[in-house]
Amino acid sequence: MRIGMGLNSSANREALRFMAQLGIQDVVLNTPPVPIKNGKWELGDLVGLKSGVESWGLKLTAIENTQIDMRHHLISSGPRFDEQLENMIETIKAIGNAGIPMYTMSWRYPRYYRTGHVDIGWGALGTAYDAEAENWPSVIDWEISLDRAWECLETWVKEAIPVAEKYGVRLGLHPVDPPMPEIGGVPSLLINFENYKRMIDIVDSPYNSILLCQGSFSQFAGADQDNGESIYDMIEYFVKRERVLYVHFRNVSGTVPKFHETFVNTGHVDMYKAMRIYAENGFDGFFMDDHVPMTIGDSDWSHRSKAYANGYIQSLIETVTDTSLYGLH
Amino acid sequence: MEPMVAIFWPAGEEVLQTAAQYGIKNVLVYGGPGSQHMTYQDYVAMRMKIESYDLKLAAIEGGFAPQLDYHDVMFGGPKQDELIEDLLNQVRDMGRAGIPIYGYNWMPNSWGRAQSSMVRGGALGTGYDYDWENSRRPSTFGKDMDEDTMWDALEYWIKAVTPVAEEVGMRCGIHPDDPPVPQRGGVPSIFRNFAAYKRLVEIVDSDYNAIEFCQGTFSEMPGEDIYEMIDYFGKRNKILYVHFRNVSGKAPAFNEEFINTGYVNMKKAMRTYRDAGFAGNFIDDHCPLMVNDDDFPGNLGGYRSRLFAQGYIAGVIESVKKEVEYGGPVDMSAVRKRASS
Repeated sequence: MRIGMGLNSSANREALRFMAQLGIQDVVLNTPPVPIKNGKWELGDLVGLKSGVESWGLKLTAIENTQIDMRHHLISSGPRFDEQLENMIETIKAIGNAGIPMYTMSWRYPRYYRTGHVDIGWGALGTAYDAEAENWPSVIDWEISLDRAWECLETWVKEAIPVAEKYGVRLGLHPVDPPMPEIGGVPSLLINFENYKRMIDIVDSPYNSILLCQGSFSQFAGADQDNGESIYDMIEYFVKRERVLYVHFRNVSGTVPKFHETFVNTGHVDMYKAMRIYAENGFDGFFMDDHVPMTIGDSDWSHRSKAYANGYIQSLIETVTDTSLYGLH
Repeated sequence: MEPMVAIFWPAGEEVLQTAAQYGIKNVLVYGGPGSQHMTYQDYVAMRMKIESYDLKLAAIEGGFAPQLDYHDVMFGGPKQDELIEDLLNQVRDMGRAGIPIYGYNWMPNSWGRAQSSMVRGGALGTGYDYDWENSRRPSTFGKDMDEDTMWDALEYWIKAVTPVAEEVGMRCGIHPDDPPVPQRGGVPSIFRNFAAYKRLVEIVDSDYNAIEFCQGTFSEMPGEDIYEMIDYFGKRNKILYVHFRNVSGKAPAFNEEFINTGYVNMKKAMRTYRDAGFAGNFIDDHCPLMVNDDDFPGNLGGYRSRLFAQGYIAGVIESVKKEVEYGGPVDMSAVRKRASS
């Protein structure tokens, strides 16, 4: 098990030095500003992106999300479905040719959002969601049924996985966050245990995997109950099947329809217990901080809050496994 | 066992609010008896300010030892009794103001380092090299000071301060000489090994005559086993609190490291405190200087570097407490065996 960190941009020097100093072993670039050329990403731009990370002695392990307008019709069955399917497959090939081993994305449109922030103590702010405060208008001017939404996902998985296998890129799908059944007129699929089981069964391959945003999984209805579908049960199930690529290791106060994010060690999930489950089931991926709370005096990128969460995660990995991340003890 | 943050005084709002937000409930303030007197009222006001953030003033750390005014306390000169009487009055004020712990040192030359050292990702850790310092440092007092004289003065002080500490309910403890080398500038470093601490705690057998356990410095002591020292003093209730930092190796040459990249296995250290029955707090102490970090009103290291260490400390404390009910950490060799079968 390793330590990672994500960056919502391209390779910026200051952030990469910060990561190098914290001993980050896997870098994730989320929605990097790779130019979209004829609807897809091209190899040359991805090689440049990767060498920007490697120039700081770091490893670009995953790209998380392309720009949403490269794939929104694919997810929501829009008129450009076929074109986006083809272009995303070409993009997967380019990612593989560039030597980037993972591509992950949220199978949802519109993208992640919250309805506000709450004071989680002494003015620290966590993002918050309340279904009653939600007011998304429809984001599509066509209709899509739940069955059709599954067809779209199944088509993608069946078309993309053989290509991913051939080009050496493991694909992982991030849950819908917030995990509500429908948003903006588009049915949500990856919002519970059952649907994730269905997703990984579409094609039984380690290349058809999960970006286990533990925060989002912890927000699933019932994830905080001892009901056989708790956050701990879900982690165990998917790690045992080797279908987890990496983990967004964050914590939340509760589940949908109303929750807020917390510090990594103050939510409803016992993070120590969670970390043991990854270790006991032979997980070999990495953990990264995600959505850290906003604290006083911190930078826009929340360097302080990220450093705290990252230090906490590093100690949990090392103490649970009784090993050193860096092979020292 | 809980995390603690160490800060300068007076403290601004930012640092206290940061501690409150991150749930670091215990605060250590640098200060204490010396030529700059703080009054009883000053200490009460300090405690109340900290408590207004729902935090606890858990310790004051500092010391008169490096101040020239206190030369006669350190070496037994003509003003020894007069100076000690003044120090004891300051100790009484602190104790009466509700300060539970006072950590100090016996280093007339204070602590010291040589060149800084490049650590992970180009961060800077302090470095030390005995030969380098020795070839440059002039004699502090123009002559070599006598080690036995220093021990005599120390014993005289311990016998004077311990009953006062007991009376006002404030535990006192001594920080090791950092770096733990034989002498610096002709002044013996008397707290440089395990044996010196065994001798200290036997001067007066009391919980109020104890150790400010800078694990970093104990880890720098040549020939000593850090886990054995934690166990020995932890079991005897001699550890007041811990400076939980890591180093690359031992004197005569070493550098400071990130908390989980030094030679000490911090998980094993934390389990040793737990098993010895230690119930006190852990500060991050010195942290490497990181790129573009924000200045922190405390010891070495900015906010980012310090909060990394604080996150690590919170995690390792939580883990070693919780692992007890599981019977220890996960057995990874069994996991690997299962996977390969």
